[in-house]
This record gives sequence, C-alpha cells and structure tokens, in this order.
Amino acid sequence: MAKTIWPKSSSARVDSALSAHSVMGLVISALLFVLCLSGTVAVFEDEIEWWEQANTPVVHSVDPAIVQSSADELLKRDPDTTHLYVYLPREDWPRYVVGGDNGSYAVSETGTFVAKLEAPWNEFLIELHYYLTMPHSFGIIIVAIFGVMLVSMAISGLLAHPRIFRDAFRFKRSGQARLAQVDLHNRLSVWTTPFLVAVAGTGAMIGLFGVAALVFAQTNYGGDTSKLSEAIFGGEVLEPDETPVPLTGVDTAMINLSRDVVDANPFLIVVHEPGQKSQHIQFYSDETDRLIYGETYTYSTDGELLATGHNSDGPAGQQIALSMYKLHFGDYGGLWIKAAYFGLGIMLCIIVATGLNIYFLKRREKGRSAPRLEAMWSGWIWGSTAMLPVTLTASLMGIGVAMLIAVYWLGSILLAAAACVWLTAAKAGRLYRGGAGLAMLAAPAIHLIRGELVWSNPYAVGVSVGLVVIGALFVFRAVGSFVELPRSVRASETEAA
Amino acid sequence: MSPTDYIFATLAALGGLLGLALLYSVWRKPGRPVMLVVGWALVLSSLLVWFMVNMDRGVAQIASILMLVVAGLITWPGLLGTNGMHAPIRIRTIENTPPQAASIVQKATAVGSGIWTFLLAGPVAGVISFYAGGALLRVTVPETGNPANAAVGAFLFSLVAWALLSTLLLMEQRKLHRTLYALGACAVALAAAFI
Repeated sequence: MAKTIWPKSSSARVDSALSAHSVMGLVISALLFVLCLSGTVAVFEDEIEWWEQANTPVVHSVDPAIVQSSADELLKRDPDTTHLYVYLPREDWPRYVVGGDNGSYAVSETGTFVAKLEAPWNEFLIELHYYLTMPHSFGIIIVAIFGVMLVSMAISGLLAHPRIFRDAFRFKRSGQARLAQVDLHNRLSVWTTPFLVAVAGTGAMIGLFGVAALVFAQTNYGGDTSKLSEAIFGGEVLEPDETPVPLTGVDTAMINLSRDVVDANPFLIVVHEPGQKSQHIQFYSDETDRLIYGETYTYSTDGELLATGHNSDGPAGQQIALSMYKLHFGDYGGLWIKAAYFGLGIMLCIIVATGLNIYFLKRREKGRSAPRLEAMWSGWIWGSTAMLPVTLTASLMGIGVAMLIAVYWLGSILLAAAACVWLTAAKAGRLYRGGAGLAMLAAPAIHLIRGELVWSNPYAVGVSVGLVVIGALFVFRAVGSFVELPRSVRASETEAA
Repeated sequence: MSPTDYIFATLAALGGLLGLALLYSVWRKPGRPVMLVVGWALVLSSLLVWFMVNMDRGVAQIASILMLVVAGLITWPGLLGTNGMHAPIRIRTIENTPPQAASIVQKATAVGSGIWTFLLAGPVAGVISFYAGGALLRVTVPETGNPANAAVGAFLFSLVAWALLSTLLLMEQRKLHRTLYALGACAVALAAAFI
C-alpha cells in the first residue's frame, strides 16, 4: 500500500472525531434519513406533479397576447393576489402554468384555463422535505439545521478517516459484516463528499436565510430584517402605489424583452402588485451555462426596461446566493442531471442507513448486542421508504395532504415498532422492501385503471415506467434475497424471531 | 453549447473517467508517481474543460457524473452482495455481557449530560456562529458600493462555523471544558457583534 501524504493523525484525535461522528449520527439519523429520502424523490417533484394531473396539456410555446389574456384571467380569479406567476413552457419542460397567491392553473396553448393544479402527493412530499411537515416558518429552520449537522458529520467523518487516500477504492465484501458496512459507508461518503456538502450546505443556506436576516438585522441593520435580502438581491424597483389600474403591458414587455435581450430565454414572469399603479413585470431568463436561478429583467407596463438583476455578472456573493436553488435540486441539466442527483441521493440514504448499522454491529462485537433496536432501525429505514409509495397509492384514491402526512408518520412508526417486536433486522428489511415494491407497482396500476395516464405525455409515462421498474426491482430483490439465504441463516432468523 | 463544445465535453468526460481509472490502477499497484500525476491531471482537466464550455454549470454537471460513476462502480458489487443493508456474511457472535447496574442518579446525570451536550453542539454553537458572522459582516461590509459579497460571505461563514464548532465541541471529551469553551465563545461572539 502507498504511504499516505496526509499528516499523521493522533489516535486520540481520530477517536474523538469518531466519537463526535457517532454521537451526532445517533441523534439525527432517523429524521435525517427521511429528509434524504424525500429529497431524493423530490428531485423529480415537477414530473410527479404533472403525473398526478397527466391530462393537463403539453404546450410548446405561447404568444405574448395569450400570456396577457392568461394574466388577466388569473387576476379575475384571484383579485387579491400580490404577485402573479406565469411559468412559460421551456424546451425541456413543455408546460404552461399561471398562478397567484391562492393557487395555480394549467393553461392550454390558446389560453384556456384547463384545471386548477392539484397534486396532493407532491404537496405532501414538499411538506415532508422542506418542512418535515411542521409549521412552515419553524420547519424550514429545523430542516436547515439538519443540513448544518450533515456538513458537521462530513467534517467529523473526514477527521476520523486518516487513511482517506490509502483506502480510496477499498471495498471488502467478505469477512466481518461490520467491515463490509464500514467500507460501504466510507467509500460512498468519500466519493460523494462534494455532493453531500453541496446539497446539505445549499439546503442550510436556503432554510436559514430568515435566521441570518434576523441576526444580521440586530448586528448591522438597525433591526430591519429586509436589509439582508436587499443587500444580496437588490431592493424594490418601484415605490408601492396601491391605486387600482387595469393589468396591462405583459405582452408589450415580453415583445420588448426579445428585442432588448436577443438571447433571452424567459421561463418565469412575475407581475409584482398586479392591478396597482406600481405594478411591474419581472422576467427570469434561463442562463443555460450558469447555476444561477435566472437573470432578471424588470419592465414597466409601458414596456420600458427598468432594471436588470445582474445575477450572472454581478458580485460573486449575489451569484453564489442565486445558485443555491439549482445546485440543491439538481435542476441544471435536464433529466440526466436529475437522474444523477437521484442516484447520488440514494447513496446519501445508504450512507445514513449504514452509519447506524455500523453502530449496532460494533455493539454486537463488544458483547452488547441490541437485536430489537437493530430490527427497529431496519424497520424505520425500509418502513419509511415503503410508506412513500403507500401514500402515493393512497393519494390516488382521493386522500388529502393532511391525511397523507398522518398516514406517513403513523405508518412509518408502526412499521418500525412492528419490526422491533416481531421481526429481525434482516427479515424486516426483506418484508418491507417487498411491500415498498408492491406499493410502487400498485400506484401506476391504479393511475392507469383510473384513466389518468395520458400516453402522449412523455413525462407522465416516464414516471409510471420508473415506478414499475423500481417497484419490480424491489420485489425481485426481496424475493431473491430470501431464496439466496443459506438455510442456516434462515433457521437462525426463525429462531431469533 | 455548440456541437464543438459537446465534442470537447464528451472527450473531457471520457478523460476524467480515464483519470479515475489510472488512480485506481495506482491504488492497486502503488509506486507509480507518473500515473498518479497523470490521473489527477486528467480529472482536473475534465473539470477545467467543462468550465470552459459550460461555466459553473458545466463543473457541477461533470462533477455529479464522475461522483456517481465512481461511487457506483466501487459499491455496486458490494450492494448486490450484502443483501441490502444486512450481509449474510460472517458475523462475530459474542455473548452479551450483562450491563452494569446504574443508580437512578447516575442514569439521570447521563441523560442530563446528553441533553446539555445537544444544546451546546446545536443551538449554542448556532448562536455563536451567527453572531460571529454578524461581527464579520460589521468588519467586511463596504461603506459604499454593493454589500452582497460581504453579506453572503458572512452568511456562509456562519454556516461553516456552526458545522465546525459542533464537531469540535463534540470532539472535546471533557464535559466541563466543552461547556467553558462554548460559553466563552458565545460571550466573545456577542461582544464582537454588538460592542
């Protein structure tokens, strides 16, 4: 083996780092796993949302006149909205959606409001990943703190790993179970460290922005919490004036944008204070070689360019802050990068799961085995995984978001408890994996039977196919792993159970 | 990206994979410094080329793909062979030793100590980090001009400091020292932020 180029670590420091890593892992792993898992699935939140209403139209482009009429129609339906959002169809996302503070609508190419957007499972998924289903202002902070703790775990993990380069490709599949789990945990952790730090750090930054605004307001801005946002993103373009006026100029602004910025690629239009004298129209244009959410161009209703955001060529701090969203959700390279994020997300889930597996195996080696807790952990991992497709299937039967949240948490807890009382860790894993697979197969089947799958919608078909393939793999692995088990192991499991 | 950019990007991606393959080869059979350097050079070159053809988005794209490929290749056989999380492989069975009896006071102390450690490594470390960030912002914010760099720098500093501080506090084994360090840092951060 090669000599390490790393400075020699003291064993005391490594032990301390390992102890810190273990303590934090024990405290946060259960909820961290749910956050990682829901985040992994949420990479495809747009696709899943469309799948839930697959019969809404595919729209490739819309004329400025249609955008204006859609904006007018939305303001009629939602006259009190403070902002109006127009999501224009893009090359890789052919959907036209218009929304306000009180809901969004799928709109056709001709400007017909086809349906109110209703995707209860996607909403549940967002509640779970963004807020851990807690009240929003509190939940987003808690979730963000998990992001900080994940970065902290990465730091302590690296400090506890002095042979990081020497072991870069090591993977021991035979021998002691703990060593196999340690290798799985360490190799995945090391090779995915940039991803892990990026998603955890960006998540923390998104969620703790409010806390930073509050603290920095006290220390720097005389108590004004809006100042941090203004420092980074700029202030209001127009002074508020609530005098009622008709909503005009969205079409003119759109035409003028294509004239003023030749390569503009607008994907979102935000009309601020619609129907008021200070109304103005902000375009987000996709910068296809940048991670920023978009470059912004703000127009008056007369079609005059009032401001450019300089998100792509402004101060580095502004560019970094504007890059958080895409970097967190992997929304910067179409389906391929989303698929890569999905894969890396699964690896992150495995890292969290194997972390506690190692803890239990170490206990076992020290003569302090805890088979009930091991089974409970396995039950939690696979139970909370299985409950995602179970709730998806339930949502297709008309169950609302609040009930989905209750079903998810209660189901996950009950499955973990059942594993603790009646099953071994391995048996719980196999059983719940099989259950997860069956639920993943049931969801697209029900979707199809209810006639909600539109074959001409490639995104909806893709989600159904994805569910069938992953579900079949889960079932296949669950059945296969039982068949593969040596008789002696099966016998000992039966004995232990 | 133009067709030429796509060609460069594809070649760079293949170069990156080749670089990783070389690193693996050196790891299997050490003592070949040229291959080690070439391996790292190819990986870094692939990042550089992707930056040139697709800016920061390109770097993120190729980094994601390389990470996925390497982590997948290393661990895929392991995942197949370990029955998910539970390997039916040799398990050292050791008889459980009976736990030492602890008094109620000892148990309560242990629980209290755990909660206190949690508070120190979580909320207290957070307070220290954010107020230290506030202090940093006071020093770095320009009197005129755009404050975005200073604001984002202070915010990022706070997050990294929190993660680092949590780790260091948990690494400190002596409970009293841990408390003193945390409370001392808290006082210093608050003083720096407000005085």
